[in-house]
Parts: sequence; structure tokens; C-alpha cells
Amino acid sequence: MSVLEVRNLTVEFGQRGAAKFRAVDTLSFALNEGQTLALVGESGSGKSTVVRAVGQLVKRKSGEILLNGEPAGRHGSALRSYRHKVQMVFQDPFASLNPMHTVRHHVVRPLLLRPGHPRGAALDEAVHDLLRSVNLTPPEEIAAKHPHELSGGQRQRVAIARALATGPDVLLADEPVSMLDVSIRLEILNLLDRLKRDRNLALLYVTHDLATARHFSSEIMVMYQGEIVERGPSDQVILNPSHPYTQILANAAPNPAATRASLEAARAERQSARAARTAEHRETVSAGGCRFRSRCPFAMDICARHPSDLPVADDHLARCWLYGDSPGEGIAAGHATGAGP
Amino acid sequence: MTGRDLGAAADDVVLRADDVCVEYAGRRPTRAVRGVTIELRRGEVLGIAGESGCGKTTLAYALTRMLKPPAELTGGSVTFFPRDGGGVDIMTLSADDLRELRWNKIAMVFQSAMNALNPVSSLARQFDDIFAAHRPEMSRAQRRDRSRDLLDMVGIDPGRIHGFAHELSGGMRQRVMIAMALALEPEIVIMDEPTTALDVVVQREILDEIERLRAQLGFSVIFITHDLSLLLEVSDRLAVMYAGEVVEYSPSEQIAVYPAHPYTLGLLRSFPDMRGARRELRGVPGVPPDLRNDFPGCPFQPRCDYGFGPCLDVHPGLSHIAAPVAAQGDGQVRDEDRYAACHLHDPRYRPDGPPAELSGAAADPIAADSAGSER
Repeated sequence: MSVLEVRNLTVEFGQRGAAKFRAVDTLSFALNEGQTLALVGESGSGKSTVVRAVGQLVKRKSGEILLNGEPAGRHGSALRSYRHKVQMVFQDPFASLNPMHTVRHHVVRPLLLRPGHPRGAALDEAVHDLLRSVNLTPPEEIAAKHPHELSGGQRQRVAIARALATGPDVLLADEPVSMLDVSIRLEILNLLDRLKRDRNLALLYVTHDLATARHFSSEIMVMYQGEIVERGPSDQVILNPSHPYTQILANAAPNPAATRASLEAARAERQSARAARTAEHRETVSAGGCRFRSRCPFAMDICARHPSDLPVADDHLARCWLYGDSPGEGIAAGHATGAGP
Repeated sequence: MTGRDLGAAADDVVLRADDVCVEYAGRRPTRAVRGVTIELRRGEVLGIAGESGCGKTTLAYALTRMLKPPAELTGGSVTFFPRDGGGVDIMTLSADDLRELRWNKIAMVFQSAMNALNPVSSLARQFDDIFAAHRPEMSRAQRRDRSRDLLDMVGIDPGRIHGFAHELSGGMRQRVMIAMALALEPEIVIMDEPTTALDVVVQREILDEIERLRAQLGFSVIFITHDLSLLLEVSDRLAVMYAGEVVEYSPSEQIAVYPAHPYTLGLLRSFPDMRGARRELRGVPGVPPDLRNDFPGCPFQPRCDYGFGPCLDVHPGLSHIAAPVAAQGDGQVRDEDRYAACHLHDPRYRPDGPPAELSGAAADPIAADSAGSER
């Protein structure tokens, strides 16, 4: 069942001398226990704002957040107990730990917030248990260290242990591995995956890396300029990307298995597509209608109207007129078969 | 062994580094680059891959003598072979000659374009600075025209010339950096993580741009990044660095399919295949060694699944290895194309040759990870 439900979440930021900027626009999704939902998109698409709004670090303009069916507390002790249940892991483990404090301090503070928390030797044992659960061993030694004595991967493990200390049901992981070395990333992702299973956590995995999104999540949502343009089971979304933006994302990812010839061909195709648009055009943002219109290779007249979520397959939705009943039907059919990997 | 035997310097070599060593001074000096020998051929993209702290950026700085204390070049030589013949020993150049060489012949694109552009001068003034220093004979109008052409060349509206860095997106700033690096038509461009801070779509655009410009202008590229999957795609040959040394040095297409060093294999198994079957992945467990230490044996030994007797006390040098078993006899891959620093490939220690997944005998060595488990 869904642990956390987000309905019509909207977040706006004020801009000096301009209309408010809508970073997240009526977004809805649900996180289920023991499942990972991935949120992917390019820089500036609003992924981190979603995480911050769900973690209630920024105020939402409108929308509801339900935790286990109850509206999330917004103030005082109700907010605090919400945060105990919804914890975050941030992108940069070099910035998210306080350089002045030991590892023990980082992990013990959230433990002390729990009512009836353990004391004395039992408290130390609780810290060590948490450190062991994220594979930081020997815990006695690690607990006494300061962040600068740890590698990036170890720091991120401390950040995860800290998030687990309050006994959360939901973990929001905002690009948890993008600051880490490639060789370390898998260990952290495998760790999150194991913790999710062991503790029956609901995990929101925010990333711009489609390959790990597919590998570590059961469902994927693709975000573009504040809205979800495609969502569905992860294999479906990656192997059969339906929204033109998802297709561009999927094609842009490096493909080490490609041959020289196929790379050349793909590059030539991209360059000719790009040559059709001028440098300035690339920057324009369309007002009204589909937000992807100015970058979309399949833009049609109807795209001046804002598309709704249209079904591509079971549980697989794309916010794109290509999948509408009347205007773009023919294109969608021919296009979906041609777009396969 | 120092790896000096990378064959005689072929005609098409444009930059050759021989046994380069760099130390960061300290009570116990950090030996960041340890006897690196590489060759950049004319018109090729040479990739340098490795984790943070493996010495790849330090090596790039050493190639153009840009190291600042406490970093110090403690050995080796770097030779530049200009298009018009001759060889220039970069290590012995005077300050004036070095200035003449940098940007003119060897340009560099730095890691974070955000910080490499001056936030308080317009792009026009920053382009002017380049030409004023290196092309004093150019008139004001010529400089302006050339700057506009350069912006246009990298796909930025020339009208932006009077703009400032903060008015540009990250991708556009990186394009400007590339335009600046190419301003004097260098023969070599060293790119240090040019796309790391960018998202995949913008990264793809920048890579396409680099490839197009290289085809058009014919410069050679040293491309440094930790993203091996990217390098396999963009580079012609690839040097994998670990703990200050090159541990594998081969054509990229070979490395992608037939990695020879256990570290390279570990890196290749670190990123999931976006479209292939799902499989267990585990990265390269462990952490890189402290470069203040000396390693009597192989620096990768503590993290290596294949360690055996000599790895503990004999240091493996970079040497020729046999063509991949699967490709032997087809004439496509010559032995002298592939180098690795690993005892598994040394017949004195392994008369039967390396295990199948490192010898090129396994059909899909990257997928054949039976030991995959979380540590």
C-alpha cells in the first residue's frame, strides 16, 4: 500500500520584478512500502524542489501530502513527527555533514529526538548498530572520526545512517551518488536497495542517470519543467520511451556497447536535427501549451494546447499529444515502433 | 621498468610524455603521478580515466608545466612535436617560450566552466585578452570579428559577445570555454572533465560539438574524466589510471569489450547497462591507496579479486600484452596496441595466461560476474 501520497503538489518561487516562477506544477505520485520510485530529469527540471517540498523544507503553494493516509503535519510537533517518518539523503556528502562534529554526533542527535530513547551504553550500541547497518565497520572507530577523515562513499553512508536513526518509513534520496566516484556508486545504491528491502522503506530516488534509475527502481517518473511528462514501470519507460523528451534523454546517455559506425550515424542524425534549430531558438521557452514544444522534433499545431496524461500501455502514461486519439495517432504508431532501442 | 618501450615515436605523435613523476611536497610527500608514459597521436582523442585522486588532473597540469607548489615535477620529460616538424622539450623551455606554446599550441579546457570564466568582465573582453597576449598584431576590429566567429562556431549567438558569464547556462559557458581554447587554433586541446557538471542532454551536445570541431580543425584531444562509459564512446585510445600509474593503455574499442586489467574490468562492471538485461552490480569495493605510501607490489592488490603470489612484492610495470584471444589471428588487433600493468598477463607468473574474462577469451567478460554481491 502507499505510505506517502502526494496530490497536486505546486511550488512557486518569487522572482524580483517578474511573475512567480512555478518550479513544480500540480504533481501527484505515491510511494509504496518496499518499493523504489525514480524521478529523473535534466538540471533545472524541478526534481530537487519536489524532494524539498515533500520533506517540507520549502513551503508548497498548494497540494496535499498524506502520510499513511493522514495529512502531513505542517507545524510544531506534528511537523516533527512527520519528519521522523520522512527522511532525506542529500547529494553532496561533503556539504551535508558538519565538519566540526564526529560521526557519532551526526548519528546520535536524531536518536536523541526519539521519545524514550536509549541512554548510556545502550545509546552507544544503537549508534554502532546504525553504522553497522550501513557497512561502516568497525563502528567504534568510525564513530570517533570527523567527516574529513572519511572518503566520499563513507560520508554518504554516515548520511544514510543519520537518516535511518529516526526510524523512517520514507527515504527521499536526492542524487545520492552523483558526487561519488563511479566505482563507489554501486555500493551505495546496493546499500540503499538492501535497506529498502530489510526495513520495508518507501524510497524516492532522484537522479539524472537513466541506467541506474532503471536498475534500482520499479517505476520511473520523468520530469520536465516542473511537470511529469512520462511515468510507468521502469523497463517500459527506458526500453520504450514514449515522450519525445524521454527519448532525447535515453539517446543522450553514453552507450559503451555501441560500435563506431552506429555512433557516427547517431551523431550525424543529431547534428542534422540540431542544425534545423538556431542557437537562440534552443533557449526559448514556450508560453502556454506543451512546455517541450520548442525542443520537440514532433511538434504539431495541437501542441499549443497543454497535453494531458495519455496512455501508452498499461500503467504507462505520457503527457504528449502523440498518444492522443485523433490528431497524432498515425504519428504515434509509426513513431513508437521506430523509437525502440 | 618505466614503460619507455612504447615503440619508437611514430611520425604521427604530437605529444609524448616519458616517465613523468609529480610529487606534492609535505612531511611525507604525496607521489601523485608515478612514472607515466603516454603518447598522443595527431588527430586522435586520448582518454584518461580513473577515480578521484588517481592523478589524472595532476598529469594534465604536468604536461603543460602548470603545476604550482606544493606540486613539483620530479622526473620525466614531455616532448611536443609541432606540425611543422622538430621536437620541443617542454620541460626545458624558458618562461617566454612556454608562454608562446600555451594556448597557441596546447590549450586547456578546465573542469568547472562556472569558475573558469571571469564573472566581472564581458566575454568580449576575455576574448580580447587572449588576442592581446598572443596576437598583438591583430586590430581591434579583427579581434572583435574573430571572437564573434568563434562563438558562432560553438553554436552561441555572436550577439552574446557583450554578455557576462552569469547570463549563460552551464552548457553555454562550457561552449564559450571551448571557443576560447580554440581561439588560436591549437594543435592539442587538453580537456579536464569538460562535461562533468552538465546533465546528459547538454553533455551530449557538447561532445557532438567537440567531435565536429575536431573533424573540422584537426586538433588532437586529451580527454580526462572519471566517466569510463563516456570515454569508451568518445576516445580512440584510453589510458586507465590507478594510484598515479597507467594500469591499462589500449584502443578504446578493445577496452570496452576485452578489458585486460582487473581494475578496468571492475570499472566496466560498475555501471548498469541501460538497455541490456538487469544484473547484479557491485562496483570496485574498497578505497584507493594513500599515495604517500610506497607500494612494493601492485597498488591495486588490496582491492583485486585475482591477487596471487607476486602481486604482494613485485611491482607490475606497463607492458605489451597479447591480443584478445577472441581476436587473435584476424590481424585487426596487434599485440603492440595493448598494454597492461598486471602480473596475470606475465607468462613468467602465469604460464597458462590470464583468466578468461581478462584474456579476451570470455564472450562477455563484463556480464560474467558470478561473484556479484554487496559488500
